[in-house]
Amino acid sequence: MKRILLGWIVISCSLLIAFILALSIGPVWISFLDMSETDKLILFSLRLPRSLSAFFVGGGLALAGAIFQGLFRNPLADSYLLGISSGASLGAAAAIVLGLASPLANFTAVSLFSFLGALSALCLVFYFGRKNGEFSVFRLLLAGLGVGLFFSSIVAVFLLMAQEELKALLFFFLGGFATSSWDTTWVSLACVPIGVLVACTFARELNVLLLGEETATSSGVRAGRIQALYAILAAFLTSVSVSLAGLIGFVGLIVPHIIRIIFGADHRTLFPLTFFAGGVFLVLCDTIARIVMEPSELPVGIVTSLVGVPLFLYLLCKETSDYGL
Amino acid sequence: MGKKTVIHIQDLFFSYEENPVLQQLDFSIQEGDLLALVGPNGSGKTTLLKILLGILSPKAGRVLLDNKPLQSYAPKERAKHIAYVSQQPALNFPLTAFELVALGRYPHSGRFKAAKPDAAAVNEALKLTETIHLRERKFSTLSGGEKQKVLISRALAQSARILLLDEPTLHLDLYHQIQILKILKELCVERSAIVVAVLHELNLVSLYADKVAMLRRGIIHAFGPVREVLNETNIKEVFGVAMAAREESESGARYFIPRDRLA
Amino acid sequence: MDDKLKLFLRAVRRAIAALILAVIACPPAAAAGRSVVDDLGFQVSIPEVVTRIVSLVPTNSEMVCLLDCSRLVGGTRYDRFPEALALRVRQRQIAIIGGGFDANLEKIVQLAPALIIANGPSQQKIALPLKRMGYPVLSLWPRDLAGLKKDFSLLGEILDRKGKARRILDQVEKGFLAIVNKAKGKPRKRVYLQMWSDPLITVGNTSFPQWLLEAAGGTNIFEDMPFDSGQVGLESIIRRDPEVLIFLTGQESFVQQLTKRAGWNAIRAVQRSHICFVDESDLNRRVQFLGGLARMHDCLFSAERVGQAISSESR
Repeated sequence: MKRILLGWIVISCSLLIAFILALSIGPVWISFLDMSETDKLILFSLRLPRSLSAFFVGGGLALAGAIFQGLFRNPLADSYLLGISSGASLGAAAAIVLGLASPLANFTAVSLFSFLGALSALCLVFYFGRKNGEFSVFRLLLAGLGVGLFFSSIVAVFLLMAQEELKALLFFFLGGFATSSWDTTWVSLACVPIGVLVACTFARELNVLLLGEETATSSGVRAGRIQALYAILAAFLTSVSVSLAGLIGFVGLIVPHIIRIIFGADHRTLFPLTFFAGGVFLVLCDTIARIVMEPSELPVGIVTSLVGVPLFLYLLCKETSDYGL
Repeated sequence: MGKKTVIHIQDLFFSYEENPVLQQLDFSIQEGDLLALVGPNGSGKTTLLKILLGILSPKAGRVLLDNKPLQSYAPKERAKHIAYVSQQPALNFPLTAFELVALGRYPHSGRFKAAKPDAAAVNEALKLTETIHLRERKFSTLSGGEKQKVLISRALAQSARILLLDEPTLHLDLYHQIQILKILKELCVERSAIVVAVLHELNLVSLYADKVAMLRRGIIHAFGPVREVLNETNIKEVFGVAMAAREESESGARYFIPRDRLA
Repeated sequence: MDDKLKLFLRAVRRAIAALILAVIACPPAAAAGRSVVDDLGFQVSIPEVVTRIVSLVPTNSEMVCLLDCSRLVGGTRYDRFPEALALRVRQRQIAIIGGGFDANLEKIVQLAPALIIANGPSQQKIALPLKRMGYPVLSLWPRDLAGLKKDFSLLGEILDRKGKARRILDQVEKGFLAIVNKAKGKPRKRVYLQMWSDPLITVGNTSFPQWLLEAAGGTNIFEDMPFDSGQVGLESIIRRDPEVLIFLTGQESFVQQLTKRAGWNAIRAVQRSHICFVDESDLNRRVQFLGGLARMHDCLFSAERVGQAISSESR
C-alpha cells in the first residue's frame, strides 16, 4: 500500500514538473512571472492545448496498451504492435478520401471513422490470433504485424494517389502535436477521462480474467462481455489518440510494463497509474521533440522510440523471470 | 445414507456441431462425495466438467443444483456454489500467490467494498493447502506442485462447497499428488464439500474417491461407489487394458496391476 | 480510490480554468480593413494597414518582397529570391519560421504578424490554428498567369503599392506575350521534365512548371497526371516518347550516363540529342518567371541547345 501511495506522489510531482517544463520551454522561453501579450497568446492558445493533448494522448495510449496486455494475457501487446493504430489511421484516411469527413469541417467525424477502423483491425487480429480458442502470443503478434503493415500500406497508397487537396487533408492526422489547438484538444479532453473511468470500474473482472476465460467464468465473471467491453475501449482510446496525433509507438508497450514491474499487476492500481504515467511520459517526450532541433521539430514518435526502446530492452533482459518467458 | 443430494444430472445430452459428445447421462452427487471422473481421452470428461460448471449448456436434459436448474443461477450466484480448478494456466504477469488466491473472492466482494474480510478468507485458503508461506512469492516462480496448490487455494477462497478439478495431479511429483488428494479428501470428510475431479491414476482413485463415474465415448459405462464400480471388468471394458485387482491385507486398500506384469 | 479521484478532479479543474483563460486571452485585434476571398475560397478580413507579414512559402515571399520587402518579417528557410530578400535574410531582418510543412507556430506568433500568407491546401494544417487564434491567413496559390495577376494585384492593394504592382505585371505580361507569340505557329514539342532522377519524378497538370512548359510551346507528356509531382517509370517515358528532355541542373552526372542506361536510347530526344537543363529557381519563381520561360522556349526551339549536349563519344 505504501508503495502505491509513494507512486502517486511521485507521479503527481512529475505531472506538475512536466507541465511546467512543457509550458515554459520552447522557441520562446516563458517565465510565468513576467509574460508579454504575445507570451500569453503562445501559452494559452498553443502550448496549453498542446500539452493537454500530449497528456491525454499519452495517457490514452498507455492505458490502451495496459488493457490489451490484460486482454491477451501477454505483456507484449499494445495498440501499435497489434496493428490497431494502423487500423485507426486507415479509418480516418479512408473517410477523408471518400469524402465522408473532413478534418477542417467536422473533426469529430474523422475520429469516429478512426474508431471504426480500429475496430476492424481488432476483429482481424482477434480472428487470426486465436488457436483452438486460446490466444497464442506468436499468432497474435504476427497477426498484429500483418494487419498493421497491411493497413499502413493502404494509407500510403491513399497518400500517393490523392489529389492535391485531398493530400493536404490527409496530412492532417499524420503526426505530432505541432499544430494542436483547442478544437482538436477538446476531443481528447472529453473522451479519454471517460475511458479511464470505465477501465477502472471493471478492473477487478479483468484481474480474474488473467487466469483464463474458463476460470473467470467459473468465478462468476461474464468473460465474453468483459472482453468485448475492454477490447472496444482500447480501440476507442487508440483511435482518439491516432486521430489527434498520428501513429506514436511504444508508449502503450513501455509505460504499463514499467508500472507493472514497480507496482504489480493488479489492474485496479495499474490502470490509473499507467494513465497518468503515460501522460507525463508523452508530455516530456513532446517537449524534447520541440527543443532538440529548434526551430524544426522532431516527430514525437521518434523521441518515444529513442527513449523508450533502450529502456524496454533493458527491462526485457532484467525481468523475464517474473514472466516465465 | 441420508446424505443430501446436491447435484442431479438428468438425461444429459451434449454435442459439438453434429457430433454427440455426451449422451444419456443420469446420476446424482451427494454432500461429502469425492467423485472421480475417469475414462480414456476424448470420452467427454472435460466436457462434463464444463457442463457442471455452467460454461456449456446441455443440448437436452438438465443439471439441477439444489433442485434448481443450473442455468437459472446468475453467474456470481453460481460461483458461490461451484468453483473450478483448470489445468495450469501460463501466467505472464507478476502476480503474487496471495493476489492470485484473492481473485477467488470475486463473487463475494462488491464493487467498492473494503479488502479486509477478503484477506482473512484468502489466508485461510492458503493455510488449507499449506502454502501460506508462499504468499508473497511471485506465482510464476513457484514449482509445479506449489502452483497447483495455490490454484486450489484460489478455488477454496471462493467459499464454494463444490469443487471441480480438471486433472489436478497432472505433471506433479509423487509427493504433491498424494498431498493434493489428501487435501481434497479432507475437504469432503470434514466440511461436507463435494469434489468432482478428472483423474487418470486409477490407484489414487481407488484410495481416495468415494464414487467413480467411468465414461467411454460420452456414455456412462458405470457409476457408483468406487469399491463396486472400479473393478477388473469395467476397467477392461472402458480402457481396453487387462488389470488385476489386489488388496492390501492390513488396511483393505485396493490397487491394480496390469495383468501382463504378473508372474 | 480517494487520491486517484482527487488527482483526476485536479486535472479537470486545471483544464477548465485554462479553457476559460484561453477564451479571455485576446487574439490580436484587427483594425477595420477589407474582406477578400482567397484562392482556397476562404473569406479573410485584412486590416487597413499591414506592416508585418509572415510568408509560409517562397513564392509568396517573392511576391511580397517585390512590392515592399521591408514589410516581410518572417519567411521559410527556402526563401531565396529576389536578391533583396536574400539580403534581408542574411541581415537577420527576416526571421526563419521553418519550412513549408513544419512551420513553427510559436515563432510565427512571436513575430506578431498583421497578415500571414500561406500556400495551397497542403498548408491548411498550419493555417487553421493560426486562424483560430485570430490571425488573418491569406492563401495565395497562383498556378498560371491569370492567377498570378489576381494574386499580385491583390497584394498590391493590401500593401498600398497598386501602381508598382501594375507596372511589374504589365512588364511581365509584355515579356510573356512576346515569348508566346514566338512560340505561336510552331508545332508543339512533347517534353519530359525531370525533377528528380532516383526515383524518377516529374510534374503533373496542377503544377506551375507545366504551365510554364505550355506557355513556352511544349506539352508535358505526363499532363494527364493530376498532381503537382509524381513518380513515373522509365517504360512510361519510353512509351510516351518525348522529343525534348529537360533536366534540372544538378542532374548532370545522371545525364552523362544516359545512353549507357538501358532503355533511354529508345527515346527520340536522346537519339536527337535534344536535351537541356534548367535551374530549379527558374521553376520556382512566380512573378519573375520570365527568365525560366525564356530558357524553356530556347530549349525547345532554338538551334543552339542550352546547356550541355551529350558528347558525341557516348552516342
